[in-house]
Amino acid sequence: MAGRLAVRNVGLVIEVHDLTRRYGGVSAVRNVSFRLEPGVLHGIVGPAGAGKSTTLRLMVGLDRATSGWCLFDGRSYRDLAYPLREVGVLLAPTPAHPGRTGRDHLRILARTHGIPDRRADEVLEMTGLADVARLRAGAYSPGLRQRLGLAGALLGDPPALLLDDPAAGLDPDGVAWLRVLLRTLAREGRAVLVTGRLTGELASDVDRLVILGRGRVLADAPTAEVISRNTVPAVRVRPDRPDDLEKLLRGHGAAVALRPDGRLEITGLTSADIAGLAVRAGILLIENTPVHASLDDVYLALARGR
Amino acid sequence: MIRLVAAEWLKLRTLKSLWVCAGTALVLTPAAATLSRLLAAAVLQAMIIVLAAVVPGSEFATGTIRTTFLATPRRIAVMIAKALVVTVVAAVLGGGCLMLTYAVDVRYGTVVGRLAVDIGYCVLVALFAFAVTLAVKHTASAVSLALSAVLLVRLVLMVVSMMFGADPSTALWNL
Repeated sequence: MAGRLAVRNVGLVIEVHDLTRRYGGVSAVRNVSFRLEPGVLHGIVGPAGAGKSTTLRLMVGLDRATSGWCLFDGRSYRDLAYPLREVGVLLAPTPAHPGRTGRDHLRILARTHGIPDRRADEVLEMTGLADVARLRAGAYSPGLRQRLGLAGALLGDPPALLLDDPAAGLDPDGVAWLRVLLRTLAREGRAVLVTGRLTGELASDVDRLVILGRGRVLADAPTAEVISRNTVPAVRVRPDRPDDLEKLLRGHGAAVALRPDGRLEITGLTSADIAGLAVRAGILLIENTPVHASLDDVYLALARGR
Repeated sequence: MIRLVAAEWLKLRTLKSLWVCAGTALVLTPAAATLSRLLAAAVLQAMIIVLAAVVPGSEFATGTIRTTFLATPRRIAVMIAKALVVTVVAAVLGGGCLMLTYAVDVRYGTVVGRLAVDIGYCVLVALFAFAVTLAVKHTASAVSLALSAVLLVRLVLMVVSMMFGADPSTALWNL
């Protein structure tokens, strides 16, 4: 079943166009547009309240958009005859009736699509729930519950997955497992979307980033590009003679800042440049590390730019 | 639609509430009938109302209604499937309880003719409770609302029928 469905449906394109949702006078989401491509792992990241979950709910019709639309190969979610076979959705937090077993939860979903119970057992196995499948969901830890939600999203073997904060509740082992799963799903040709916080576990894993802030799209580009375009690369060094190095580098046009931990943070020169200059001046560098800008920095830069 | 009904039936079947309500109704209705037919009717109605309210109520309470609508975005179809399941369950449970009640108390007389009417009444009560739950989206408030409404209607009907000089025991909705 897995192979057949994936082949049949592969290449689903999801288009979000000018999505807006106002509650009263307040816009939760404003003119959000992006496109999800097959085989690509996408991330919507932003601070709390940026509109990530709202965007996802609007996409699948759980909330009504004030204007704009989201189309799955040209059809809205409500027009999909068998949505579980086209788009797998993980909601945050994962809803499950506490009195029902995880397996029954999935069997009910499967019934609506004529999916055999065998497939429910398959996804339980895939998500590491086989041992607890016959326990009541009320007894599940947050991590297990999250896995149950993922199992539900995978049930119809859909070519697209929309996962709201999939790492929530997972322990470090679970996050590592999820990383591999997401990468595998994308490599199989599926369009995968995850939402997360800027400092989230998955934010740096995704191929393409949509950064949301206050309901607007601040950036939408490949991850590396978003980071390099919006931050200045910096290098942190720990020299034996900080004052001399500072003078030397300033003389070469670099900006130097002394950090509270005694290291110097330098922008305007690469770490190779700095090493070369230090050697020639007889200054010993105990540390010389390029600093990767965090998405927090990117967000702050973008938010300032607005 | 058959798939939706199958899913809804599985959903109800995997809830403890169904078996608790059904068991309670099957035991208490005939037991109450040995005391008073009014009490028996009240017990059966209460159980049917709880059951009908639990079907949508449990989904609103746990948020699983969102999962349901994701799997089936045609919300009206979902509700029709639920209503069908409620109808059948109410009819079967009502029929079972009534037959047991008649077995306990043969004074109920012309059984077969009454049974059809009474089962129809059970279904009406169930669908009413179901609709109330859809409106208030909360199981407990729906149960109390529906129960008081049903008991009140019953009271009003009895008073009205007595005002017109009818013998209340021959009234149509008299379970």
